[in-house]
Amino acid sequence: MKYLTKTDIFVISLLLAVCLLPIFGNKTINKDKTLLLLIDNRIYELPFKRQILNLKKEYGVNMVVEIDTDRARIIESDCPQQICVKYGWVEECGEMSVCVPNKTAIQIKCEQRKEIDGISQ
Amino acid sequence: MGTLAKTAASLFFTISLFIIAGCSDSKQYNTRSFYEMGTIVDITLSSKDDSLINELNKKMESWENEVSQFSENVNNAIPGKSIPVTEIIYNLLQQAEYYKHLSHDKFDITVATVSRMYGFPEGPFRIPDNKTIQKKSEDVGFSNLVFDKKRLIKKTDLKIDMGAYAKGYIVDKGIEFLKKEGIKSAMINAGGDLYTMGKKGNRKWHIAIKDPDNKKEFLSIIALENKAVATSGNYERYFEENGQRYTHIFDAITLQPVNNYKSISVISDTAQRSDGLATVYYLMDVDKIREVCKKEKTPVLIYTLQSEKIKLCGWQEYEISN
Repeated sequence: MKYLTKTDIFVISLLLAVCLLPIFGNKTINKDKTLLLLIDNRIYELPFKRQILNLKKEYGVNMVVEIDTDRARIIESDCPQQICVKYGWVEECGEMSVCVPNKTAIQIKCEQRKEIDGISQ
Repeated sequence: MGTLAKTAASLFFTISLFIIAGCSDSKQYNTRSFYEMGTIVDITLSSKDDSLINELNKKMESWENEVSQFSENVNNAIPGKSIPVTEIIYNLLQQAEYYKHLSHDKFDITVATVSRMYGFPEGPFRIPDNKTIQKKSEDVGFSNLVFDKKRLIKKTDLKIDMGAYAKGYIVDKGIEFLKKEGIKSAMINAGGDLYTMGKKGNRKWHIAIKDPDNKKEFLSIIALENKAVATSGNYERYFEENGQRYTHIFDAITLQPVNNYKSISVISDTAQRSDGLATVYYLMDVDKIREVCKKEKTPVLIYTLQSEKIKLCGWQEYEISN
């Protein structure tokens, strides 16, 4: 073997294996969820820990978010239509509750669920 | 060791390199979110060029301002007053005329005259009495707008709303801007009205259609490349009174809100068309949609009030298994 030594083949195989790993790994949908708080054009990650969070002090918007161990909802908001409050719990991947007047939203992100790039609703 | 082995070795090398390059590719996408056009706009790009995303964000904001400023000017103007028209506005007005024609007058941007009496789009909502609606009905009608490339005059005391398709139009303009900047792969998603440019890495973009009845499921998952999809539904903008659902979509002939379907999704070549046609189809019965989508060459997914899925004009060809 002049052109490829055993080491070459080993290195290439290793690289291939590392590269192909995520493709097979993807098949098992990991439901690891992250809770995101989007205010204006800033994004914060919130812990899934049972609590009532008043956004007034830290973020300056008149809203209250309730967080559970794997879901969250907006329970108070000073916006006129109350769409975000009426929405209820967000718990599934990609789900979000949006308050447009306050430019504030909570969203569930699932990093491992790579199959879906966007949702049309 | 002959030529064959030599060729095989170099081929193996090349393929390996391609696969390695390809697999790292899909990780380089990043998404940024903005509040724009009354919704969250997600921009997904293959480059980490933050200044480009910021510039796009500013542009989309200014286009949106142009559209909403024009609508405000028209809605606040007294009949007979001349209102300036820009290139964007002229394009949108022409589209309005096209959709009106396509829907046999059911779609009309001047139906906002009536939908505003219900409190749409912002609320608070109420049901106006029939007499008040009848009184206003003569003001409604696209033919009461006289316009050219420079100006517009309204002949009656009407109001307009181009929200049904202006969002899609702005998404398309955003994509146009990215193309000029040399971007080959991107997605702009304005609250469900989205366009997919190129491929995502080495595969098409995977888009799910929301199931309004079941958060854990999707109505359909499709693969898109250089295509747009948009959905119109009865589940996001509506109010209920006495057990009846009043949606934000109004029929310009009956002047009543329509609750024909749970949702309608449309695949087409531009976000503006998908956006507009989703509303136009929402106003039609299934037979009519079947006829028009064939002519317009736009795949459609209908989700009926009875939770039945109807796939028309080749929707299935875009579907991938979940």
